[in-house]
Amino acid sequence: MKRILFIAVLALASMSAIAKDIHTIVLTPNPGLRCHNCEAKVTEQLRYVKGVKRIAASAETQTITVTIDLDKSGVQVLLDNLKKIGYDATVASDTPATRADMPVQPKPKAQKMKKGAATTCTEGGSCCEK
Amino acid sequence: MNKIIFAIAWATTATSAMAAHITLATTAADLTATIAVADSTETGTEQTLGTATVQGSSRARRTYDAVNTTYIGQQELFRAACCNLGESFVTNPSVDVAYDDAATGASQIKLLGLSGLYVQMLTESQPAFRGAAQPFALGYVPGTWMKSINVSKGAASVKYGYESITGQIDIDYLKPDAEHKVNVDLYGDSHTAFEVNGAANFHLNERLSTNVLVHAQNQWGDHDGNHDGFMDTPMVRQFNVSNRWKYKSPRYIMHVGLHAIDEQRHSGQIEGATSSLLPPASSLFKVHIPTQRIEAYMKHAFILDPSHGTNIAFMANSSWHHLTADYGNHTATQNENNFGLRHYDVEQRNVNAQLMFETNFNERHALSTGLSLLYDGYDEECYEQLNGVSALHADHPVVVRHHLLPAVGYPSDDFQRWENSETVPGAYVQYTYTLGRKLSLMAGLRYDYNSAYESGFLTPRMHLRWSPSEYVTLRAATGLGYRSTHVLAENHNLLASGRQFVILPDAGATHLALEKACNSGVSAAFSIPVGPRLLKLNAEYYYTYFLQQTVVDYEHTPGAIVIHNLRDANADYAAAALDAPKSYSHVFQVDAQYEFFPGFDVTAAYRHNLVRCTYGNISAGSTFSNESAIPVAEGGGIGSPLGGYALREKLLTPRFKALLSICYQTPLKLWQFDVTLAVNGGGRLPDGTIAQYGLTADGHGPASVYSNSTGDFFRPYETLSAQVTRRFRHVDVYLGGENLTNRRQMSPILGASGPFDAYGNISSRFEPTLVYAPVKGWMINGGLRLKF
Repeated sequence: MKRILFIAVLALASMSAIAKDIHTIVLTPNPGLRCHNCEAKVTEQLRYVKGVKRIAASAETQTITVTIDLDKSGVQVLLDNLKKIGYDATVASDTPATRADMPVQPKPKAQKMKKGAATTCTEGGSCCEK
Repeated sequence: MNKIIFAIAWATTATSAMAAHITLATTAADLTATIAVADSTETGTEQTLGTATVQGSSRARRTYDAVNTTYIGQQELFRAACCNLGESFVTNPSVDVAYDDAATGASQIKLLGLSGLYVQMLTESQPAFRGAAQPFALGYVPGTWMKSINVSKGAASVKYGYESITGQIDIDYLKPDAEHKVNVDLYGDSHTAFEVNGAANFHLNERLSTNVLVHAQNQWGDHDGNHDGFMDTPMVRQFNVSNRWKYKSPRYIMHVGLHAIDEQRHSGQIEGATSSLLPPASSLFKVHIPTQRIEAYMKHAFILDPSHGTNIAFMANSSWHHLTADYGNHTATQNENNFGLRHYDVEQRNVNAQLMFETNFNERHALSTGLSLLYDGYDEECYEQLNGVSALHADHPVVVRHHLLPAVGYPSDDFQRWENSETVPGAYVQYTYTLGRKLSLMAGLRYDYNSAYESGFLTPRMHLRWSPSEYVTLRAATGLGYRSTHVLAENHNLLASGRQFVILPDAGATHLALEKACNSGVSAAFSIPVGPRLLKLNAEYYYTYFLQQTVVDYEHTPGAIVIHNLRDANADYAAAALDAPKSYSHVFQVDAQYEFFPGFDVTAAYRHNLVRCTYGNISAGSTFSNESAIPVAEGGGIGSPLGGYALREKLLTPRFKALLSICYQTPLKLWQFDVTLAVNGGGRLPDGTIAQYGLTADGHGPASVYSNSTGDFFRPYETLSAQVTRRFRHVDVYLGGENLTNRRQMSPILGASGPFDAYGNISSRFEPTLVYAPVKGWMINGGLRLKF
């Protein structure tokens, strides 16, 4: 009896997992992401979208990688949300996600400040100028 | 309690023990660190060539700054319901916040084991909240107004003056040119306090922007959790508004702003409490402190050569602060029942102006120089209305107006008002040598002339940072600091005590001496890649030695608080074979921070304070050269008729602090869970306190008191706070609790059952200023942060 129950629970879990259509979408933003503030702005905009599991915005690679359950929100929802904050994004790739595909925030290289250069991305300040 | 301390120490060790699995990174890219560039054109910002912050963390040490500075961002501030600046340090291991007294709610921070008076408070790089604003300054900055706080330890840069002895706290407000936002915050708690905050910014064009910040708070109902007849915390009604403007062009930046505060603070006995005031009028002991404050500031920066960061900046701020404090019998009207009341009124005018020139000659050499002018003017009034009874008029008490301050040099008893002011022109020069990220050396010297003391003084300071690798940063710093004392303005909350309040300059002097101290410190910070994340380890040691200090002495004269100089300028201690009075602080701190898995961040810290000060009356009797010789057990003690003075543990200062703070955020940060456990060490009470007030030792429980042959002491105690936050697109909802273990000081108000004596005057046994543990018990709070 216990074995039957266990198998039933396992089957239900598998079914729910199969029912989710989780994809890893890589988007290319235009204009590009200039600094950490832009990454934070994009992340803040997308994280409330239904179905989003992971977000990794990278100024280094100029990509926004989103793991999303497409049963809850489609790719167009992501594009529309980015449009609201001034980014026209295109889909660079769209692949069904596995555990290995869970995006890991890339570690940006240290940026050297140009002497005397005025920067448009201040620490914790306004986001990047276009 | 020992188990808790052990647990925190274990956590510190465990967190740092991850270093046993160090794998050295081969490139900087393996470090989860980004370099966020400091805006070199921001007026008043340090001209550094890079400031490292840890990505994803809102609290970080500024790795490449010469000064040991910790940056606390808004995300860190929101880990607790930070209603104001004073509550923003709940998760910070370096800064303590404590009530100065249980009657007024005046609170003060402590840094490096010493009073917050030795911490220079800045708002956006300009000195702020000095003098009369000090006792309640932590309540004048709403938590939601702050974008960040920079906490620097040790003597800070000479650019901003000579006053930072133990450190500097620089508050950054929300910026007018930040992302366009409208924020509304609502807060309420189980002590019936309610707050609303609003912040909105407007970008008028590409260059000009403004923001408006508003705050209102009130409390309904007086809360008396310990049933001593007194409110646990004051009822504060405050309106606070600020308007800030920013103009930015490629060669010119301007900031201007206005800030206004109106506050009504009520405290004291609750209705229905008993009072020992004699007829014909019975009254409750009440505290009423209305405050009005207006500030204005401006900053102008002219960028002369962007390629070299060459700029000239002019900054000025001005404030007008008016405060009235009444302690005691508030039914006192005119004539008949006009006694049992202490009254203090102060009007302070402050102007501070700075002209600064900064340039980078090349990548290695930078220079900053400037002029400054400080003006502080005070109009003060202080008196106590006594019901004097003499043998002749025993049946008909005579109302006597009596001057509180019999000190030498003060106006005669006919006058209860006096004015004093100081004008301090100054100049500084600071040179910075930077060798990339490896080395920074900052040496500064300033000269100031203080009109009140009719003397000039030099302030040398030096800071050295050496980063032999990306993982290690070593710092050393040393410097002098000074502070001029405005005794009543900064300590008027002590008037709530029934003790006589005495200001005692040296013989022949009209005021207390300029405080002077030397602060030195070393620190080592390690950013060690452990797995995919960084383990941050920090160890530091600071030593502060006072060459002259204003001592608030409960043990100088029985029944009095005597405020006097640490060292008498007229005394020849060596010739008299007496130990020269001393005051110093040794502070040692270790802390570790690690993100064990994404979103799960643990900080553990331990700080040990060794703070000593000479208390007592050198002229009253024998000298006790060591603590064990003081006959406390025989009813003696340095505050007793046996007199004498001795180097003792600093009063009301915890010997250590241990902190364990855990934060978990879900992957998208939609949920956040924060828990902070702090254990504050025991400390010393004035000699004879336990016997005098009949306090009973509560076994060996936390915050209980005990006495032995060396004095009266309080035991360590813990505080626990927690908060859960849920984020939605336009609203954050949080629910939390403070002091969840309900740890309270058993008797924060000594003599609470009889605040007035047989004549109706404030009783000399009434003592609300010996506060060492939380006054209010557990509290549940919650709120909404709406963002548009």
